[in-house]
Amino acid sequence: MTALSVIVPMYNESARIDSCLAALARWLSGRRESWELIAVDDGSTDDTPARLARARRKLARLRIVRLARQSGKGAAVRAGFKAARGRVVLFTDCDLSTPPDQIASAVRWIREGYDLAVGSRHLPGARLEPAQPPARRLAGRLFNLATRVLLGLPYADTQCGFKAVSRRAAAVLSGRGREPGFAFDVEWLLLARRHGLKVKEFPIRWRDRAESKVRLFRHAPAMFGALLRLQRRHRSVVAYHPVRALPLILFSCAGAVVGQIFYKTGAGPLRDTPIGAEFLVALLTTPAIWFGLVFFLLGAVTWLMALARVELSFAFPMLSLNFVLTALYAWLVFGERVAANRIAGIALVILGVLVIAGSGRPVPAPRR
Amino acid sequence: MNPVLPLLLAVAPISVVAQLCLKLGVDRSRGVLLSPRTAWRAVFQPLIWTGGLLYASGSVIWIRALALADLSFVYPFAAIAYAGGVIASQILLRERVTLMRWAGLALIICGVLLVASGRSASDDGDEASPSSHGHRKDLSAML
Repeated sequence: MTALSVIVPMYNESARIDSCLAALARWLSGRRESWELIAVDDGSTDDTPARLARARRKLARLRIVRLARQSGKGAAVRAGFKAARGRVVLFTDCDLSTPPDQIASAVRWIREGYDLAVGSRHLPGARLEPAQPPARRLAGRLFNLATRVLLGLPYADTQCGFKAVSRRAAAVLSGRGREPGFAFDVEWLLLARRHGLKVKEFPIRWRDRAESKVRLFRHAPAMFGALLRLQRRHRSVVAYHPVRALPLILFSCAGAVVGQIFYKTGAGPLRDTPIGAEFLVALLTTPAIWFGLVFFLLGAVTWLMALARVELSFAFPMLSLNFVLTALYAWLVFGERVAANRIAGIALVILGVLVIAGSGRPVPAPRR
Repeated sequence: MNPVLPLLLAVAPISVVAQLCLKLGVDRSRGVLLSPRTAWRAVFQPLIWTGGLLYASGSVIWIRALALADLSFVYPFAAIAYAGGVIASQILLRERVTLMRWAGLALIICGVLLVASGRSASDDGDEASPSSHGHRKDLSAML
């Protein structure tokens, strides 16, 4: 049986394909074990297929899988995995941002018993030479934050195009993966959790290549949509990040503040009425009082919903947002000049709330 | 003795106990609260309506305290409640409170103390008309 299969997905890679295949073949030939190189042509429309055919004549261990129509990187990698015969299956991007020598690390982790070895640019020990331009790095961090918060995945880098799997995992991931595009490896991490596969994220050496297929702004909405889709589809294994409860907490505080405002509006005129039957009747027939009650109740129920999802030490201090909302209301409605100490205090409260939000840890999905 | 002091000393313990009851009750009826449609059923859990009543009492005391004393005196007691709540969560609910969370709490406490410090609400703004001034003072009645 072949020891190692290396999959390279390609779409219109005319410029890079020859150097890529040559570099991989050169490194792989230096190893003592059997290997195969599988190039997956994802419906390329340039001369990639011709170059592949030429390369095939020179390189016996190159196999070609061709998808008739462009189906997305995820579909291409899965097709390669399905065709693979190796005990360890690895895929790498065609630009070889991760140099071929890193393959040894990935394979070693699989041989140590892990099912999925994930190359990571953001773990301590990773070397980025040269590093990514700041804009791409920021976009990457934001996307990673989204995966952590929306999916509860505790990985520093899910998007690096360098991952290896065991034979068993290859079958599971290629068989059950559905994501066509760039979020396919995020889906793999969710599938891994679902099927009890052992995952190892390890630091790699990485060289930024100026030309990348991912266009930040054009692809961002689609990527985000993919995360939401994955969240829905893999609900049973998505860990709940407490930050997701912040809208509930904020709504709860708003409900309390608005309820108070309505109550004060309604009860204000009754301030001098002595407590008794007349007072009670007047209170109950004031619409503002009822509005206030409704908002209070909405705030109360929302607070309970938040408490069902987060720890008390997370939520309780956030009640201080009541002060913030009150000050905001006073400033907006009465247009009063807010004293400096009050502004500073409000700012500190907001900062404190954000820090507590950051202290949240994802919790495994609750059993319904 | 200052008549408002006993009220204020009661606010923090009552709030903390109220929230503890709510959290314990919620943990027991978690399934119900995961969907907005069924959430209202939570009211039937005894710990929850106990916590709710305690919370309401705490709010009434808080409002009364603000009517009697200035917010620069009253607000800091809310900060005590937050601290007490986090400590109680760690000890009684066995929650893991990280350094980061303590830091956030500290920032919030400092923020609340800053808001309460300096000139009192009644000194704010010469443009304030008597009616809006009264309203604003009442607005401070938020816990």
